[in-house]
Amino acid sequence: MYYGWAGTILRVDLSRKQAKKQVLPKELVENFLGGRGFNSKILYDEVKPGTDPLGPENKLIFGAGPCTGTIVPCSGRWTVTAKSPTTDAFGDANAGGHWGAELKWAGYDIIIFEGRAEEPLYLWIDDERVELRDAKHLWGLDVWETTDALKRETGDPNVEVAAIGPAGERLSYPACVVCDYTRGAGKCGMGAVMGSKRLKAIAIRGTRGVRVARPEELVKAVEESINILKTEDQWWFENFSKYGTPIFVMLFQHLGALPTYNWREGWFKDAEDLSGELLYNKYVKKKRACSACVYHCSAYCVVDDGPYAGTVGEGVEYEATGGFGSKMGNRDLASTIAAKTLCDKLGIDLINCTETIGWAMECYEKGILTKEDTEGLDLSWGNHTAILEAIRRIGYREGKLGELFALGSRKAARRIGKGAEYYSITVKGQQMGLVEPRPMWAWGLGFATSTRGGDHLRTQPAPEFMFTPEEAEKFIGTPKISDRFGWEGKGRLVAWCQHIRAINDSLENCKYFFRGSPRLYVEFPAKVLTATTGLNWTYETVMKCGERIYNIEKAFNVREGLGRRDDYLPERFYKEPLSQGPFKGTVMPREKFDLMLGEYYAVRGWDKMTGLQTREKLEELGLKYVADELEKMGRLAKPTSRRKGTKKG
Amino acid sequence: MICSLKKTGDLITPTKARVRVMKRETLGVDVPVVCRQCEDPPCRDVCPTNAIIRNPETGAVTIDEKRCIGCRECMLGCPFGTISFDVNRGVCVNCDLCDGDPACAKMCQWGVIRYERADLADLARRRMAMEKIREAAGKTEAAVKS
Repeated sequence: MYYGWAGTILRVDLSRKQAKKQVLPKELVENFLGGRGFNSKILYDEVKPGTDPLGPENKLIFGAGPCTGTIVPCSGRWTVTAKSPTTDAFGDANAGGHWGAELKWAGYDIIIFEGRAEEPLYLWIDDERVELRDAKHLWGLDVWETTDALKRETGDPNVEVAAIGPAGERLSYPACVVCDYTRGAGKCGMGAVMGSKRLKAIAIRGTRGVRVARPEELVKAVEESINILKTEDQWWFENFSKYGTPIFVMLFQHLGALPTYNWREGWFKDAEDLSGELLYNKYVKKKRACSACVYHCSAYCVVDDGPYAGTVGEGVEYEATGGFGSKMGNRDLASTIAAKTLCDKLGIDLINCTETIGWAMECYEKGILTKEDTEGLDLSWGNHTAILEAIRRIGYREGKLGELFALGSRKAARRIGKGAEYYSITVKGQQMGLVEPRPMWAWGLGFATSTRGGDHLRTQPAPEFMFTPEEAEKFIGTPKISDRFGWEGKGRLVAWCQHIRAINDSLENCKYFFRGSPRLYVEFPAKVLTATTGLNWTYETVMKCGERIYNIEKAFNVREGLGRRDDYLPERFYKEPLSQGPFKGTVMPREKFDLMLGEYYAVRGWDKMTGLQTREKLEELGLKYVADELEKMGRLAKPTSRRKGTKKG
Repeated sequence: MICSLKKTGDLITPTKARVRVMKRETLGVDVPVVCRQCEDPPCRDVCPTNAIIRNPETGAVTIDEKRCIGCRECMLGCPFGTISFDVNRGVCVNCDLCDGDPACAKMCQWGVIRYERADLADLARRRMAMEKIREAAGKTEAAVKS
C-alpha cells in the first residue's frame, strides 16, 4: 500500500468498452514521482513512433500527483498526456481546479484510455465503481451544458467533470479538455485526441480519500512553506492573490515583453486598458481557488455594461487579456472576457486559439489572407467582434475559415503557403505562451528546448530574477544568470529550471506557488513528498527524477525524428528588432542563441552539436532501455572523447 | 481538508471533513456549510439517545460518539445539513470546534475562517455595516453636489 499515491492505474479500452484496474508499480513511483512523470513514461513505453495522433493507437493518459487531494498548498493540478496532433510529437497539458483531487479521492492515480469508441461514451467513476456510459445525448453540447447534464444525470451536483466541447468533437487542433467549467488543459490539442477517441467526458465522485504517511510532519511542512511565502515576498503573495495572472500585463509591459500585434512588438500603447488592476476593479466579483490553494488567483468576472453585458466567466488570465488583447491589438477588456468564456464553452485552448487568430490577423494585414479566404470576416487588428466569430468557427469547424484555423497556426500556414509560416509563432508546431523572448533570453531558450513545443511553463526561468548570485552559484552552479541579455549560464539555468518544473508538474503543484521564494524551489518538494508518501526523498533524488522525466520526454521526440533544428525559435525573434518600448532595437542574436543552446546541451550531457541524447546520460538515469531503442533507430549520439569530459565536469 | 486529516489521523477526503464548501461555478458562488452551533439545536431535540450535548467549555454542539447509535435523525433534524455520517465508524459527526482550537481557522491564510467570541464578532459586523452606510451616504452626497 502506498501513502500519497492512490496506488491504482485505471486502464480503459474504449474499443472493447472495458475498464480494468492495475496496481501502480513501485518502479514507476520511485523514478517518476507522479502526474506528468507517470504519464510521460507510460506514453514513451506504450505509443510507438509514427503513431497517428488522432488514430486509435494513440493513448490518452490522465494523471494526478502524489500530493493532489492533500493539504499540500496549490497541489490541485492534473496532467493529460498523449501524442499531440499539433506537434506530431510529445504532448501534454495541465490544468487546475478540483477534478484532479476528486480523481485521487476516488482512488486512482492514472487513467489510460486506449482504442476508439464506436459511439460517443463518457466515463463515470464512483469510487471503485467504473462505468462507460453512452454519451450520444451529450455529443454536440458545449462544455458547460455537458457538465450541468452530467451533474444532473449522476444525481450529485458535487461530481467533478472534465469534458470536451464541440471543438474537441470536431478534432480542431486548438481543442482542450476542460474541467470545473473553466479550467482548460490546453496545450498540444489534447481535446482533439479525446474527441478522436469519441470520449466526451469523465465524471468523478471520490470519497475514498488519500492517506498521508506522516500527518504531523506534513502539517508542519505546509505551515512552514506558507510562512515563507507570506514573509519573504509579501508583495507577491498579496498582489498575485488579489489580481492573479492578469497583473502580468503591466509587469511585462514594463519589461518590454508584452507580445503585441502578433509578436511584432513587445510593448502595447493601450496596455493600461488591459491591466490586471482594471480587470479587478471593474469586472471581478469573487475570487476563487483550485483545490488546496493558498493564493486564490482565479476570479469570477461579470460584465455589467457595454456590448458584452451579461457575460460571466472565470479564470480570465493573462493569456486571455494579453492574448485576445495586446496580441491582437485589441484594447477592449470586456471582449477578452467574452472571448475567454466562449473558448471555455467550446473547449478551445486559449494559447493555440489566440496565436492562430493573431497569426491570421497579421496575414490579413499583409494580404496573405484575403477577405475571400476569411469568408467576409474583417480580421483587422483589434476587431473584437471578428475575433469572437473566428473563435466560434474554430470551435464548430465551420466553413473554409473554420477548417483552416482548426489546424492551428503552423499547419494552417503550411497549407496556404505564400510565406505565411514566417508569421506563425510556434516552436515544434506548438504555439508559444505570452512572453516576448527578445528582451528575456532565458525564456527564449526555455521556449525553444521545451519538450512539448513553445511553452513557457516547461522552464519558467523565474529564478533568473529571484535568486541572489550566491544562491544561483549554490544551486544552479553559476552566478551569471541574472543578466537578461547575457548568454552565459543560461543553458545551466534553463536545464535546472526544467528539472524543477518537471518535479512541480509531477507533484502536480502549481508553479506560481514556488514563485514566492527561492527556498521553496529547493526545500519544498522533497520535504512534502517525504511527509506525504513516507519514502525518504532528498533534493538530489527528486532532482534526478526531474531530469529523468525530461529525458524520457526528449527521447519520445527524438524517436519521432525531432532534433536540433526543432530547438529553435521562430525566425522573427532573430531577425526583427523591437521597434517600440523600453527595449527598442533588441533582437535575440542567432549566434548568441547558438551559444546558449550549445551550453544547454552540454549541461544536459547531450551531444553538443546534434542535441541527441548520449548513452552515458540515459544509463546514468536508469533509462538503458531507452538508449538501446534509440541506438537501434540510429537516434543516439555517437560517442566522442570530448563528451566524456563534460560528463565528468 | 485539514479537518479530515485532523479528525481521521491520516486520511484526507471530503466526506470526512466537517467543514465543507459547496460551489456553483457558473454563478461564482462558494457557500461554506458548517455547524451553526445553534442556541436551541433541533439535532439535539430529535436525538433519541441524548447523544448531542453542549460542550460546557467551548459551547459547541457535540455528538457523544459512545452514545450515538448512528440512526441519522440529527442529520434530518439539522436545517443546514451540516451533520455527516461516518460510514466507517457508524456514527454521526459534527464540527466540535476542535475543543476550542479549530484546525481550519489556523490553516486559513486569509482570515476567512476565524474563531472568535460570538458577541465580539457581532460588534465587528455592526461596525462594518456602519462603514457601509457611511460610504453609501458619502456617495449620495457627492451625487447631490454634482
